[in-house]
Amino acid sequence: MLSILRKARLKDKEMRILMLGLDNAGKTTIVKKIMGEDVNTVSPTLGFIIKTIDYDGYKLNIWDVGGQKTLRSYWRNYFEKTDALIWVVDSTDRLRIDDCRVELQGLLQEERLAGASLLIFANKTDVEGCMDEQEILSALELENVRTHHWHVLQCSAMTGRNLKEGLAWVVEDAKKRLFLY
Amino acid sequence: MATQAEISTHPLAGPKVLYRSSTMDPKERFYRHFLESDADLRDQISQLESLANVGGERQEAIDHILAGISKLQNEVADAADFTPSYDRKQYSEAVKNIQDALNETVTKITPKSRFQFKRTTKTVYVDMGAPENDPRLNPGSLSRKNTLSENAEESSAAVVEDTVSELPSSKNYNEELSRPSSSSVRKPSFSAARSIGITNQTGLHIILPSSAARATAAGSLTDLSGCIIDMSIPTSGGTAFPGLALKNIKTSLVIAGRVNGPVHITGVADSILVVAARQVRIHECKNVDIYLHCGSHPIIEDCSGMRFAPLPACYVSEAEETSENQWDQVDDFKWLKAGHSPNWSILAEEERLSPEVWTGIVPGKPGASVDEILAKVGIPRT
Repeated sequence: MLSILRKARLKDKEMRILMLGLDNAGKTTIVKKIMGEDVNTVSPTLGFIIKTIDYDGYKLNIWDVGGQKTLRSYWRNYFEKTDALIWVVDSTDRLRIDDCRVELQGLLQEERLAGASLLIFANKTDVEGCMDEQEILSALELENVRTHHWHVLQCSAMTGRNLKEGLAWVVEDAKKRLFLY
Repeated sequence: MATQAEISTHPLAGPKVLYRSSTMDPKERFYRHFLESDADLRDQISQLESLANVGGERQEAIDHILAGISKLQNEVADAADFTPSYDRKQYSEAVKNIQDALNETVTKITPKSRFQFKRTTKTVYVDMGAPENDPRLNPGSLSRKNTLSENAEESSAAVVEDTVSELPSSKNYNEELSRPSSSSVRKPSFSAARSIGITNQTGLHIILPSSAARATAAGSLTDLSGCIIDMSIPTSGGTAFPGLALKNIKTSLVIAGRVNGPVHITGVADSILVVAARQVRIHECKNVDIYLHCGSHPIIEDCSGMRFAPLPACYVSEAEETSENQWDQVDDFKWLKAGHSPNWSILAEEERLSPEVWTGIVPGKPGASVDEILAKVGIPRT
């Protein structure tokens, strides 16, 4: 049933991308940067924001859900039919990297997210002294993740570094998987 | 500074050891030197126990001893061309004995940690041999380059096992700050630090000098109580923090300076904060007055008794003048109903601190104690 649904959506060339992460990771700023909007006046997200991006002939519906503690319990309402999960990490926030790992591991247990591609955006890499890729890998214990295809990209929502590359990976990975069915 | 003084009085740190001098048999000379170093190291080890564990003072001493051991090892190796093999063996055994003694002492004095996966203490030695980690090669610190945000763990109770990777960490001005000293003014050098991480302090008045401007790559203030922290001087110029975290702060006055990005405030109680930032998130705070410049809607979550006021004029720089201040557009995640959230209010104009207080009392003056200043600005709230 799920695969039929997936195929139907593949024909529409639509993908649903869920963007999550702790508060202050920079989710909304990443989306705004991709859309070419002003990134200097972003307020913390009170609920969620949906943006549609056309990429490579695909319509990417990006669901950007706020990361404050109060909102995290609502994340699960957005899991259904997610093709890819983008997990955004604040590379400068060493104090909360453990929280970040716990929340991510919780998500990966979710049945409804099984099969979704997992892109980790290590954001804010324009800031000097941020965690490098190896630090993120080990702090989030990514090596142990076997349930999802995952990929880590260092990015910066302020400079735009690697944002397009991230979308490209998401689309490629989701495409591969969808054609398997 | 303090570290430097300590090092230069250390017998090992003098000019390259003179055991090649012709006036005495090199073997003999080295033997004496070795004995001296050996005794000195043992002496330091025996004193470890008397050092306070909090604030990382003991950790520094351990670092120091480790460096000493590794130097001695190198010297033994250097002396290999004129020492007979039997002596060499004796020397390396003696070095090993010192290491064992240190190990034993450290194990003995380290508080029992809660359950945790720990790397073995042995790995402590690995890094110290490397020249880039040798604190003596760089008196006064600073080749140590990790950022200080890890210091939160470093200066907490369970030190030795858990922070292996951070041993050669960057200059620890937190130690310098908390070190008891005869004069009331201490001036740890911030000029070479690349990030500001002030943690675990009580009852101090800290004013970051403009020389800390290069250190504003990242900032965090954690576990403070009864402190006055002013970071406005280095950040008001061109180098704002790209991000700042304030966590677990009680009965303090924090002038956070300018942040060209998000500020994350968690667990602050009975305090006054002055913040200029692009984004502000406030969590689990109680009875805090915030003088704010915020380029977006500030949010609060699990807070109560919060009062907001605009940034005092004396802290306004050009950067603030050009962006709209939304200090009073607070969104409360715990109050989704219509009507005003009971968790925050606007600080009435007559209750705000006057400009004279900001420019006259807050910077402090000789003889004014931290407690007096805090009382004058109304901390804790009456």
